[in-house]
Amino acid sequence: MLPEEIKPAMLGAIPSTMVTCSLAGVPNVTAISQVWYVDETHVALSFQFFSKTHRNVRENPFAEVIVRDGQNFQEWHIEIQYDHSEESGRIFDAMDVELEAIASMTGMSGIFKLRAADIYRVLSVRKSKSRG
Amino acid sequence: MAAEPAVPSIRDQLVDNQKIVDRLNAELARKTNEVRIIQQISSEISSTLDLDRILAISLDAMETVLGFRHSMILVAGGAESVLTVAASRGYDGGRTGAEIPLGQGVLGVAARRRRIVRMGNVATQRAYLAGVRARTQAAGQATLEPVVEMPGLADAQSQLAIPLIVKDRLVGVLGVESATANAFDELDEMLLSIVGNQVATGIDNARMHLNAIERSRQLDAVNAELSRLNETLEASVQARTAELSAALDQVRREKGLSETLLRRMAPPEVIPLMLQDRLLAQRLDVAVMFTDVVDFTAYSSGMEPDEVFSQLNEFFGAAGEIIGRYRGYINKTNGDGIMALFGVPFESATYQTDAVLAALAIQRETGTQFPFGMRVGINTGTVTAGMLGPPDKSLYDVIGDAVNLASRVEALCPRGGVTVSPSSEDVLKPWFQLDKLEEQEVKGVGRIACLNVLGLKAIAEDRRRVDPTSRFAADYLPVIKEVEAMKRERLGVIDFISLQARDLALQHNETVASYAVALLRMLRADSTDAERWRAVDEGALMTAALLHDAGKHVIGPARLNDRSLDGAGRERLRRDLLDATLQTLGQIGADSSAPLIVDLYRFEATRGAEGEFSSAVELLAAADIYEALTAPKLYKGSPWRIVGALAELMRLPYCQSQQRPVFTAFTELMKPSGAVIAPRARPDVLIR
Amino acid sequence: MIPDRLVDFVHGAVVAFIGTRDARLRPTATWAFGARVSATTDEISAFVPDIEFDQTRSNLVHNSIVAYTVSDPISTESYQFKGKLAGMRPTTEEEPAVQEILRGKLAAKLAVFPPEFVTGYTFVPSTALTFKVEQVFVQTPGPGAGRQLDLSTEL
Repeated sequence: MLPEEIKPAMLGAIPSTMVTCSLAGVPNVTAISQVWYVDETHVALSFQFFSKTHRNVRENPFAEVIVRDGQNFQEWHIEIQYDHSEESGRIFDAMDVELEAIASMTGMSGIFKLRAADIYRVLSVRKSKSRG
Repeated sequence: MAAEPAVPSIRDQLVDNQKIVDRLNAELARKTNEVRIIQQISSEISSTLDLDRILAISLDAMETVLGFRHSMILVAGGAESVLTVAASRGYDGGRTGAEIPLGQGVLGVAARRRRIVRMGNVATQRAYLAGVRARTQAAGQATLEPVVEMPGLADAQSQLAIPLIVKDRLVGVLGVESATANAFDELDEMLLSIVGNQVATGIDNARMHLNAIERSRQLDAVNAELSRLNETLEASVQARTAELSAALDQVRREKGLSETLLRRMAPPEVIPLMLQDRLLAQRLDVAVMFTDVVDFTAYSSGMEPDEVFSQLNEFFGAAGEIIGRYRGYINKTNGDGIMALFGVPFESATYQTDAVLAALAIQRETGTQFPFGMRVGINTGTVTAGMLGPPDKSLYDVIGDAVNLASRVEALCPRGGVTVSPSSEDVLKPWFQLDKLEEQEVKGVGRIACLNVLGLKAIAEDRRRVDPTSRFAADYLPVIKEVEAMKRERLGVIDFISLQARDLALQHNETVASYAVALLRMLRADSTDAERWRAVDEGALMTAALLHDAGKHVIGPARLNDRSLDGAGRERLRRDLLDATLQTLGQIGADSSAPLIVDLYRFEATRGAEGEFSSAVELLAAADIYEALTAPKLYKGSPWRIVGALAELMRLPYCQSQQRPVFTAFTELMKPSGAVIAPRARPDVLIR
Repeated sequence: MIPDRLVDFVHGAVVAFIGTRDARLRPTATWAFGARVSATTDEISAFVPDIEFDQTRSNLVHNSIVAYTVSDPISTESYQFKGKLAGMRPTTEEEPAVQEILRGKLAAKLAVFPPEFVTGYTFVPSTALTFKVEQVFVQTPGPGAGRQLDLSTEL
């Protein structure tokens, strides 16, 4: 489902946008730094602190992310569905290593902690029309 | 009715497939090419135990071959809690010495967690987190550690770090970075991992080697201490003395063991490859030397076995030191004989003459010390070299017909002599006195005429360079004797032959000294300007001439003999040689010669085009340049003949601006009687 | 009452998104490029480019719940406004000028990117989407993120 050409948009070069929705039906829009490519049908987001976004997907798993390519600025809309969280494994490790590296450089070791890697299933992918 | 989706035409499908095939081919080509280059780099790294060289090779390759512009190698400290930059490329002023605690930044995390870390947006993420940090600090919500300055690029976006691990030990980290985001991909990770493996092993081996050397040094210190103790207590109780003697012997044995343990098995350069089981057999052109004690049975009869062994082992030690001095390697001892190799494991330019000079030195230096007579035979040819023997007892060895022939040549050698096969006659002829033997039938080779090497040719008889009809010839001979005497009495610590053997400038220093001093005396006797010449100190001139390149032993022979050096390379070599020479002068207490030698190098750097020079320097320069032009050469090609060399002296830039009495006199005195040396360049013609 | 500093913030060089959801609670988001805030009526009119508006429009036909998040791309200061749709209309003749001014300010602010980043967005024609603000949340990453602003006391 996720084509090869979307991969450059999943490197965190430009922040992504995520929209979730509570069970009561109120949407919530926020910026996130990176959507991680897991495989053709899965993406992952890092879960660091409790937030509205986190609460929303736990009660209503459907969400949408807009990712942006750092080279050609193409935007993509990916509809996703929260599947499960992992506190170990390849994705968690990769996120954890990056967090540790950046946190150590900004004197924030121990303050920024990765709680889990949230794994989502990809429901649909399309290029955004916003750039004509 | 739903519209049918457009089916891509056959043509479209073919074009798409071709694009995929092209892309895969390009990726494969890139992979193959870069992996091949990596293999090359790996073999260079594993051929040396010098840590600095390993680091330099790795980083140079990473820059020029793989295109990583900013890179560094860090080594882990003993406690593995701190990484120190050991070498870097692409940073103004370098970063060597900078420290990173384990766990700090991409490099520190790669080391702490022992995994490759690759990030493509470091600066972006840092900026984001810096904002959070500022707000956290403002809110007073937590005590924060200070922000850290990393030693690399301040604005790095991409960083790739490879931990260097050998057998479960963290040896260090290899890192590259770039200001461009997402600059590195999986292929870069793979390539860098391969280089990283080699660097890790190389660093580890080099450090083991350094540790062995350090341990040896420590044992030396203990040795010296015990010796001193031994001396002071000699006067007192005998039992105590005996105890200390035993301890001294123990230390000597241990030192001998630890230092030679590695060297026993193979030449030091191949040890790292050997330790990894990766030493491949190779064909080399080498000189094989066999020595043998003449009539050993007669000599050893009546001696106790341990006295026999003690004598022989002393001899092997002395001979081994001499062979090492001439860059040879003792392959094995065979009863009372030695088999040595010159030109392993890397071919050298001077291996043929090194073997002969070592043989002559062995006969000369051990002849007085040991009561037995010896034969030495040498053959040069192609052998196959590598690890030979059953798996747990293999040794570095060579095989081939050239080895067998060397053994037969040794059998033909007279007592106290050195005999060579005909294969090196052409190379040896210019420098050595050779005596051709009768043709003999040698099993497996046929009829050949071997040659006895009587010694180096005498300077005094070198008619190619000092013409017997010149005025120089007569006055020059007594000077040679004086130079030899001064060499022996005042400069005995220096082994000039082994120094000169490195670039085959045999007897260069003695010749220059002889020419310079002889010329000075002739000028004093002849010239109307006697005062000027009397003011030149003859002893200082002779000493400076003898020592002017005394630092040659520090420069690698490969570099000394490199004919491909360009102007900048030669300039660098000259500077390094001067630095090494000045250092050597300091070591032997001959600093007083330094100013004269420095001026000589200044002259030769520009052929005298810049600045003024004293008479002493002119004498040295004239002698040195003439000697260099007319000496027999290592590479093919003839040395200059007398008339041509003298004309070249007159064409020096130094001689173009004014009349130079030293050079004019040298030319007049040296030229064969009746010869005419071309005058200096004609004056500028104003009107054409 | 939307505080003055927030009004200025929304009118500044910021990036903004509108979030809505459909009948099955599936959310979607799209750019809003330019806005007008009325501090007196607590209404915000966000100008949403028509080119990427289809899903959002259809969501708003079904329900009128709007989330509007505004962020400074450099400092990451962010606020989220939530409320009910009051009306949708095409932008007036003057409103594209406001959008053009915003584009200029953003281009200057995001100078680290090549200019085609900002110029590549098509925002004409746009639809002005007006909604009444009911809640405002601080969304700036860091301590206090997610805090709701008390509009009666915030200044």
